[in-house]
Amino acid sequence: MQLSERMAMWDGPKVRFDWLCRVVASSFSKAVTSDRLSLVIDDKGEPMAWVIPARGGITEEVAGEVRDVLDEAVVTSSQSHGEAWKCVVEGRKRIELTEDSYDRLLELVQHPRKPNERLQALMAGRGRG
Amino acid sequence: MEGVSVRRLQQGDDVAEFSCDVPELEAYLREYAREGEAGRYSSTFVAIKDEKVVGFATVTADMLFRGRVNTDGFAPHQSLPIMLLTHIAVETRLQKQGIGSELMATVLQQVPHMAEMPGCLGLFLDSRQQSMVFYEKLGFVPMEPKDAEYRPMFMERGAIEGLLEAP
Repeated sequence: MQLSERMAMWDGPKVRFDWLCRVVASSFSKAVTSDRLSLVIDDKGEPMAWVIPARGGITEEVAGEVRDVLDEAVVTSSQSHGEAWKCVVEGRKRIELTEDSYDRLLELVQHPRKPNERLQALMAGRGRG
Repeated sequence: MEGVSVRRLQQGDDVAEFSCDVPELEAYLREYAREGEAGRYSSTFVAIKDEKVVGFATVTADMLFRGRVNTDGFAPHQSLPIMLLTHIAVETRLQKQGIGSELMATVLQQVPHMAEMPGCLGLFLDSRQQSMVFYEKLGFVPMEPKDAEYRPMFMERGAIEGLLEAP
């Protein structure tokens, strides 16, 4: 099925292109849109490309779906859109730690440190919850 | 900081004049933070002084993975639920006066709620290199891999729960 046909059938979340670019471009946030694919629309509301959520929750089924349409999406986009698409695809990467850090984190979880005194005092002064 | 309170962002909050000298953060608060609240995919807390928004912090749920394992597929036993701090900023003229710590305290208070259900091992964030000292003073542990600009940092749930007990 062509991308245009897939887009025509799309009834899932729609994301504005400028919004998406800004979120992805933001070095702070790589979060985003839904738990499955989203459809990117341009300023005029026209469908432009599909994207996947930036982090986490990507099943093999969805990944396969993205791979199916990825080349078409790049081809059917302008150069600038193609660049953005690349950003989006890169932006989907998961938060990954090195094995040492991952193990360190698990150790912290299993053997928590004493609470930070400065923060504890701050929280005690402002009430709990 | 005296005269500052922290609460959840409300749809009617005026954030148009918020300025922190980081355009991406200003734009996020102005244009997208409320969307996250309305869509329930992120939570934003704001610091209020003299009825104006002078700082904000946004969190969302995420998963943490062990690197270099099966990057194409899912490896559920290798994933850990965490709360992710995606944005934090304080009005330029009020920085270094404790508002960031107030925001962090509020964010940290949410971790035990998420830990109760559906589960959360701690608070995770990507710190700019120049902000690392701030987070380390609060008790965050630096993680790897880092890059030229950012360093992952983490505080475990147990230490956070300890914060909520009387000193």
